[in-house]
Amino acid sequence: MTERSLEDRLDEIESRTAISALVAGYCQGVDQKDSDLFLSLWHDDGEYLIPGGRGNFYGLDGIRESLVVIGEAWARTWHWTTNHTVSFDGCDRAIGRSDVFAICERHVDANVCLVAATYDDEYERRNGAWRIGRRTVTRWFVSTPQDIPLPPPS
Amino acid sequence: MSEPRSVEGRIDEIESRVAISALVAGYCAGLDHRNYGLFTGLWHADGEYRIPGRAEYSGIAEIHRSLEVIDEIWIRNWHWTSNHRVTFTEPDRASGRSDVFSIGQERSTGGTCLTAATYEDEYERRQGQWRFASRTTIRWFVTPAQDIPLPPPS
Repeated sequence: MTERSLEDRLDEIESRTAISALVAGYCQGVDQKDSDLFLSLWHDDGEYLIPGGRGNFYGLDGIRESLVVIGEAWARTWHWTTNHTVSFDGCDRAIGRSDVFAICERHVDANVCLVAATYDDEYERRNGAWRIGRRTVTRWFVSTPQDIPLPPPS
Repeated sequence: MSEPRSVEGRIDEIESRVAISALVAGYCAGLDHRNYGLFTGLWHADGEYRIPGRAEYSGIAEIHRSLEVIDEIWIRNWHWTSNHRVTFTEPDRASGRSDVFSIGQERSTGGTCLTAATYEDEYERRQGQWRFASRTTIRWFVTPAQDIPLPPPS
């Protein structure tokens, strides 16, 4: 068995932190409609795949378009990601998996849908920066619209 | 170009991230289980706990009072924090952001409310201990009480 150097072990831990920030930033970018943050998470040739009718988006222009599609689908969203695991393939590539629960408010009647999905990700480090190479969203359910108002707190 | 960071400095930051994560988790345990010692122990003596639109608490005595106020409003709470990101400004100071979903049983109605919020935090290490310098809770919604019973499992 090959002993891994302290430097390599440290680098991997720091890479995990950087990758975790991508997964968290995705939620902030979508929920706050922060397109600059959202686009900064992906490599130029990144792929954002949402099977089941939402669409597949390629490259930063495509991923920018995905925010328009999501904005047309939902008035407001809140995403909470958990169960994130990361496996490395060399020092500059990794795959990850996480689960997300989301509450999404419809434009038409402000009813809300509860959503569960899994993100299967590929991350790459290029020029020292970890970004998403590909994210595939597997949606497990989108509930029927529920009449649960989401008012700002009084 | 900045100097390469020392191994000691990099490991220290990783250990700091672990300690800071424990603050974010401890907040939920302290609040949900009305553990006043745990809850107040997460802040520095001059720590601040802000809930815009509701109240601002400064110092440990007021932060203790904040939990009493929460208990006056809610019979029970459950908080799940996600999407936590930490950025260091210096070795002993960092800021963080996380999202929380919570379920609370309202004292006035007995009904169940769903809430979403974002925590914006400032952390400081003093005398070797990481604690909150401030936590600001940005509340996005609190639903009206829903008729969702929360019985113990049978």
